[in-house]
Amino acid sequence: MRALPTALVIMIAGCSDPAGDPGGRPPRSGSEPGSGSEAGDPAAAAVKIAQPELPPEVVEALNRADADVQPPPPGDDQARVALQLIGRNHPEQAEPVARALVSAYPDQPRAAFVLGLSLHKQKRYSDAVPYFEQALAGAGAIEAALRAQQFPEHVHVSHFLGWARYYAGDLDGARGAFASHVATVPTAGDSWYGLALVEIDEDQIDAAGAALERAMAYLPEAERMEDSRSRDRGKILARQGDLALRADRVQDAVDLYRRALRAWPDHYEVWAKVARCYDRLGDAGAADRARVEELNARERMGRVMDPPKGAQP
Amino acid sequence: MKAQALTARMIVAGSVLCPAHAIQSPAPTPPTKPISFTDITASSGIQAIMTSGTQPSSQILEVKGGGLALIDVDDDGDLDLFMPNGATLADPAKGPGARLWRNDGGWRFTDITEASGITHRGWSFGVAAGDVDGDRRDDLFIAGFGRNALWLNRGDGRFVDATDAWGAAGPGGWSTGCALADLDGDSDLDLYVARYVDYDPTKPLLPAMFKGQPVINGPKGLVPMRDVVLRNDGDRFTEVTDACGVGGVAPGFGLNVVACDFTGDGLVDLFVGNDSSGNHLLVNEGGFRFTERARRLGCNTNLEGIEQATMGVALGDVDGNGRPDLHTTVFSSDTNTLFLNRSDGFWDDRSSQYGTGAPSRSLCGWASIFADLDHDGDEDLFTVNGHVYPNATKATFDSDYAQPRLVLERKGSRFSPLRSDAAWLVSPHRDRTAVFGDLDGDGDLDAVIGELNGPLRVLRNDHDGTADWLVVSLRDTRGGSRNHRAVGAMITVEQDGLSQRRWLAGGGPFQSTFSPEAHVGLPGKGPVKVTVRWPDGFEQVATTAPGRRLVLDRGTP
Repeated sequence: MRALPTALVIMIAGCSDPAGDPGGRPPRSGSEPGSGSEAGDPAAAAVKIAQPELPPEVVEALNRADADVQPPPPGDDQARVALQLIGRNHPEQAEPVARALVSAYPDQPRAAFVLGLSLHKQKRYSDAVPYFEQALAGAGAIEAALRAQQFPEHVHVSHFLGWARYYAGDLDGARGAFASHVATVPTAGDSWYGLALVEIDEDQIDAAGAALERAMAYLPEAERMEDSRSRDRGKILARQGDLALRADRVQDAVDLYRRALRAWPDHYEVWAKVARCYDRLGDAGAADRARVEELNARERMGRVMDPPKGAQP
Repeated sequence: MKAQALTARMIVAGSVLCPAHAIQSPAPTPPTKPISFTDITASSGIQAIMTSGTQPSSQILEVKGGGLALIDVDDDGDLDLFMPNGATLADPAKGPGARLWRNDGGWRFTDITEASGITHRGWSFGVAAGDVDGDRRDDLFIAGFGRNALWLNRGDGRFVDATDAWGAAGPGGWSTGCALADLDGDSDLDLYVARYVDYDPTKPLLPAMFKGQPVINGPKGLVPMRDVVLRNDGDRFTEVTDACGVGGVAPGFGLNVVACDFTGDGLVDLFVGNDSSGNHLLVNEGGFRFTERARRLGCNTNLEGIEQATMGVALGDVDGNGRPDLHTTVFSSDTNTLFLNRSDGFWDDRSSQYGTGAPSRSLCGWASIFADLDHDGDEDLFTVNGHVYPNATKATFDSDYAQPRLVLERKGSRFSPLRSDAAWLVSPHRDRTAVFGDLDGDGDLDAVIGELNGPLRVLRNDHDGTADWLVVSLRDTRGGSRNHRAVGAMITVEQDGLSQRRWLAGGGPFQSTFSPEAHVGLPGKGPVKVTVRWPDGFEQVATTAPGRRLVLDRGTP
C-alpha cells in the first residue's frame, strides 16, 4: 500500500474519540498560562487509527503527483510547515501559519483544510467545521486530474468533518460526513467507528453494531488478532461492550471490556465501566480492584481525576 | 385562581405499605398542540434583576447565580414567587436584597417585599421553601455566601428573621443548593445544605487557562466544603452532619440537592450534584443515618467514568418503572446525563438511549426539569443554559456565553429537541435557574427563569386550555404533623390504562425549590385514579375527573 501523504499522518493525532474528554474540561484552578487541561494531552497525542487503504484512482493520482509532472500547489511550503506543527502536537502554533495561508490563498481548499485541522486539533470543533466544509466544496471544484496533486489530502476531509461535527453536537451532519468518507474509502475504519458512535447516540443499536464490525474488519491484520495490543482494537471492543450493557447483557459487557483492556490496558474509562459491571454482578471486590486499575491507568495516561481533597471544618 | 378546585378527604385504602405498582411505560402519544410559551414579563409585575456580582464575571463567586422559589405565602392556593438574590464582590453581605411577589391572579404579581418584612441582603444562592416550624405556613431558608438565613412566615403577611433563634446561620463558607425534607421520619422538615468551595473574596484568584484562553478560576484546585445537615428539633435546628454520616463523606463541589425516596423503602434519600467531582447519593438507612452509595450504585459518574460538572438536577420517571430517575446538566463540550434508577437499585447512564445527551454538547446547562409541557402523557425536559466564561464563543470554546434554552420533547422512547424560532426558546441568555408551576391556574406549567445579572423572565405556557390535566396538592392537617405539604410523598395518576408517577421532593432544579404541586398531563378521556403514598407510608386513593385541581387532605386515618 502506498504511504499516506503528510496530512493523513496527522490523522493519528486526537481525531477519534480519544480517552478522556474530547472537548476539554473546565480547567484546574491555579494552572499557569499554557497549562490548561487541553495542553499536552498525551491520550490524544497517542491516538492511532487504522490507516485507510486509498482507492486505486487516488493512489494513481498521487503517483502521478510524485512524478513531479506538476509544480507544487501554491502555498505548499506553508502548508507543510503547518501540518508538521500539527503533527508535533502544536496546533496552536500551526493556526497562525494556516491563517496566513488562507489569507494568501483564499481560494485554495487545501489552505482551508489545514486551518480547519489546526482548529480541530485544538478541540475548537465548531470553528473547524466551516473550514472543512469549505475545503470539501473547493476540492470538488478542482479538476479531477489535478486534485490529488493540488490537494493530496482531499479524500479524507470528510473524515475530519465528521468528527468535528460530532463533537460540535451535529449528529446528522457527522453521519453524513462519515458516510461520505466510507463511501469513498470503504476501508476507513475510523470513519466506521465514528458512524458507530453516531448510531449509538441515536440508539440505532443494530446499525452501531454493524459499523463497529466494519471498523474491526479494517484494522490491520496484526491488530485484529486476539490479545494483540492495539488501541483501536480496544476502543472498538469497548464500544461493543457498551452495546452489550445497553442490552443488559452485563456479563457479556464484562467479557468485551476485559478483551478491550487486554488490547489497551491504559483505557481508564473502560476500567470504570468494568467496575460498574462488577458492582451490578454483585462482586464488589472485583469492582474495587477495577477501580484501582482505573486510577493506575489514569496515572499512566496523565489523566488523574484530581479528586477534591480535604474538607473545611 | 382556584378554578375547579376539589377537596377530597376521602376514599382511603389504609395500607401503610405501598404496593408494587406496575407503572406503564408511556403510551404512544396522540398529536397535541406544539409546546409554546409567551414571555409576559413586561405585564406581570415581576421586574427584577438577579444580581450575582457584576458583568463581566471575573471570579467564581459571581458565575452561579441564585435560586427561586414558588411558595404560597398567603395560603390562598396560588403560587407566589421569592428570589433570595445575590450581591457583588464590593460588598458580599449587602446586595440589593431578596424580593417577594404575591400572585394576584390574572398574571399580575405585586411586589410585597417591604410589607413582608424580609430585609435579607446577603449574597444568596439556594432557597428552600417549606413549613419549618410546623404552623402550616411556608417559611424560607436561604443558603448564601457567609451566613445562611431562616425567615419564618407569621401568617399575617409578614416574615420574621429566625436565623439565630433556630441556629440556622450555618458554619459560614459558601452554601449553594438546599432542601427541606423529613430526613428522620418524625414528620418535621430537616435541612440539607450543599456547599461549594472555600473562597475568600478579598483574595481574588488569578485566571486559569482553558483552550488557550484565560478564564475564571475554579473549582478544581480549590478546597471543597463539606455539606451540612440540620435536624429540626421543633423549635430550632441542630447540626447532625457528623452524627448522620454525611460528615464522613469525602466532600465534592456541591451545587444542588434533591431529596426523594430513590430506593423505594419509604425513607427520603439525598442526591447531591457536585461540580467537577463525583455526585453523591446519600441513602437513608433509617435512624437519621446516611451512607454514600453513588459510586457503588452507578450515579457518581457518567457511563464513561467521568466526574462531570453537575449543576442542575431534574427528577422524573423516564422509563416508567415507578422509580425516580435523574437528569443532570453539565459543562459544555460534555453531555448532560440521564441516570435511570433501575428496579434492582442500580443506576444506568442511558443518555444515548433516550437522546438526551448529544443535543446538550454545545451548551453549559443549569436548571432542568421534567414536565409534561404539552399534556400528551409523558414528561418533556426543559433546560436553561449559559456559559460561565464571559469570553466563551463557539470559536474559542465550542460554546457561546449566552445560550438558547433546550427543550427536549418526549416522543415515544426518545427525546427530540424542540425546533422553533420562537424567542422564548432561541433567544440567548445567561440563564441559571428556573421554577415551574401552574401560575395562572389553567392547568399547564408556566415558568419563571432567572438569568445571571439579568432579568427574571415569566413564561406563560400556551397549551390549548382543554381539560387534559390534573394538578394535585396535598395537605396534612392532622394534629402533630409538621410536614403539611407532604414533602416526600409519591403520587400515582392513572387514566385509561396509562399510569404516571410524580414525587413531591425537596430541593429543586438548581438552587431552587420544586413546586409543591404535582402536575400531570392527561391525554385520555376517562376518569382519573389518584394514589398517594404519604411520607409516613400511608396510602390514600381518590378518583376524580381531568381538568381539576385536586387537594387531598391526609386528615385523620
